[in-house]
Amino acid sequence: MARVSKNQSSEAAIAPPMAKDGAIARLVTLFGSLGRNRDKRVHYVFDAGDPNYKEIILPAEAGIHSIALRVPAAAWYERELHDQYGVEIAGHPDLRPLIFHENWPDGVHPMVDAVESVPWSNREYRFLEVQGIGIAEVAVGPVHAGIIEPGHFRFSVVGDTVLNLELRHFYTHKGAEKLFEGRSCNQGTLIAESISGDNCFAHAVAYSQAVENACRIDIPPRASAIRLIGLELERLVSHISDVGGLCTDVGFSVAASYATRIKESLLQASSRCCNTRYWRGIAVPGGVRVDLDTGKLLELSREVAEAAREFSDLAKLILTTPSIQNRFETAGILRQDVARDLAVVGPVARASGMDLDVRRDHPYAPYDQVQFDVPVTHYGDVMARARIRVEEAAISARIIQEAVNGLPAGSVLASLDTLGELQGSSAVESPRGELYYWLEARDGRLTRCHVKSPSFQNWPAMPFAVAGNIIADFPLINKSFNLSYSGCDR
Amino acid sequence: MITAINFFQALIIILGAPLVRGIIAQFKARLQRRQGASIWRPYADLAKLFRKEDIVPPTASWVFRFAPIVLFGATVSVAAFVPVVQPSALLASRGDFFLLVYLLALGRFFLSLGALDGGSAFGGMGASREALVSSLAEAPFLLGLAAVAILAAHADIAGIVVWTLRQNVFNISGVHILAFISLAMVTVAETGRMPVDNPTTHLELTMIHEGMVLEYSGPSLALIEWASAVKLHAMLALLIALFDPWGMASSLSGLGIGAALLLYCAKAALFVIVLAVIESGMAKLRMYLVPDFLGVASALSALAVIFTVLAKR
Repeated sequence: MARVSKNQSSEAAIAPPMAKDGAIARLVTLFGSLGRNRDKRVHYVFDAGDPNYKEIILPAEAGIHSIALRVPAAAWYERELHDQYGVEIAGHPDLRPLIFHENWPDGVHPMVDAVESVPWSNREYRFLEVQGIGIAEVAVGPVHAGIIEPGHFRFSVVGDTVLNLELRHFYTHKGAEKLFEGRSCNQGTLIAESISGDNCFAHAVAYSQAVENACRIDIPPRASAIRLIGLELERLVSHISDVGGLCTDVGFSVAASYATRIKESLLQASSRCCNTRYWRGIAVPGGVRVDLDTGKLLELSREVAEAAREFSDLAKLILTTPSIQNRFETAGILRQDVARDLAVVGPVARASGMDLDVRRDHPYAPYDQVQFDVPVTHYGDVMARARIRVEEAAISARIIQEAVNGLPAGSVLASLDTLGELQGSSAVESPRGELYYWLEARDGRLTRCHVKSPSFQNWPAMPFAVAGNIIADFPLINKSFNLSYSGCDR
Repeated sequence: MITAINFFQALIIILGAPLVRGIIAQFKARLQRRQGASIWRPYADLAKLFRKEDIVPPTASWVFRFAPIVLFGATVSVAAFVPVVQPSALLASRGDFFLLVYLLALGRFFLSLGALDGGSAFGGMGASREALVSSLAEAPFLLGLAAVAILAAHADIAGIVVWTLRQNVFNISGVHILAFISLAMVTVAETGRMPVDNPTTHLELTMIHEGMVLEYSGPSLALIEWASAVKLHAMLALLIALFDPWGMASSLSGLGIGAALLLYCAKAALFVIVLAVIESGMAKLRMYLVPDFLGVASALSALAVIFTVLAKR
């Protein structure tokens, strides 16, 4: 699959910026875009430890040099770039198609070419082969025995021990980034919300913030407070659901159903407060679509307090049950150096000793006025990821209480002027970690919207946590990462 | 008359088996504060499966079709060895406890073959794990039964029960306690219950029994499901008959049989509740700890045999 560029010398290359500690800065995302004359460009976004992200733009018409060997986190992004834009990438160790499968023809790049009538193709895709005596391959998915999202896992096992796991995802690739093109800034919210169902509010807020950043406006304080309540509620619901899911996967059914009940009580409380269980259709560029009644928000905050109290009791019970400890501890360890190399984000990163949280490191309104701790632990096993979620759930509940009690008055929607050339970006700490939107619009129509989802970032790290474990523990390890397939595939 | 009652006993085990599963599921649902499905649901499931089409993988041979029939036949035969309401059984004079153990093994062997024949990776994985679990469960199963058989000086189950009935309830020996615990652990492993196997999981990589039956459908699946329900019920009935038979009818009067049946139902219900509580109160064991679990069972049953031989109690 190695491709030799026609003109080696014209390939552009960047030097990854350095962080304060002397290591290479954390890669946030890497994506392509088209300039005015439809010339290909590549954007590198790094987090060098400052509140602002560092963006490097490189012309890519003649191809680029891969940075994947120095920054392993870039490997999937460069493959995606290769698929979407057909940018030649020299020196990449693995340029197999990532987002497109065997049925997608070679040489059709959706962000550059038209995709209305793409012929059916029959390309070859080769999995990594592990050779040796007694090594068997186990193929799992994309159709699973349970009702879960589709993804293919190719295990190379010796006995029950996993030597290598190769992922093959993107079965739910919807071409979301292509769908954004040509929509108005308000319509874009609907697409952003549909990218990952259980994180829809984080996506809507991140998208809206990117538009607001492009228009250089600030939203009313009441709107940003309502967004904060929604974001933290989403995190709370997600973490409760994840801890319950971990119990389901080890057959601890009583705790699992209690977690489901607490989660459901929160969803129903949301529904009573704003008529939507997952806060769909609330956030729009400029603020929030409708003002929420303060009385109803107080009622919601009481229910959140009750749910958080119940969940903390339940979590104590779960984490002190010996059979649970036996399953969770030392299972699926993600080492800190691996997590760092692959620029893992979110609770998974914090469980592997990486101290990062967008809310604190790159604050967006109104997190700059909120005091909270960021729990970090270095064990990196399933138990660590469970504990991080339990602690974060309690913190989120407290933030919601404070936000509701100190809710400012005023309007909730600022008007936007989307005429002219706009470019903006924004990051949000979603329940799964850093969610980053970058968009460009011309006269109110989106020309490019890139979504860096935390799931896309974290999936490549999962096989490293699985290797060396027995295959029967894979579902548990996978659940402890709880990555979205739809969010990854976009 | 006695043959009719023995026949009736076997039918109780075979036809009542889905109900036992239904009650366990219902009780577990209650522990989770769910309403749960009706206790009669397993019968409806079986009826549904029997009406459905049997889909056979194109790569499978006759073994795949044949395996559920052997499994069902072997398991049903086991049911005919276990006394329920009075201390005799349909096949009591035809075989001893070795036959019982290896009839179960025969069924399991064929189910594993069928799973391998189905051609999916999960079938093979389930079969290899089942082979591991059952080979480790075989020793405590045999030793536990041998301990009580030596005490009773009878090798057939009905003979052991007759001997036990003559003993005083309050004169329980250590051998019985050890053998009971080891056989109860074997029951959990043999019937694929928590914490050895999770019968309600949807995660194909963690499955043992469920992994083996993933490729089965329709009437074949119905036979397998029914057979595993019969196995669970027969093991429960065996535990009750060996360790708590008091109350079985000594005469063949209608009243005695009726009272014995009621008492059996009460004992079975108690077992089912204990099973449901244990299943709900803990997580599934790591696959690597299953040998340890059965190792404990083996040690207990070995102790039981040693005590029997040394102390005759």
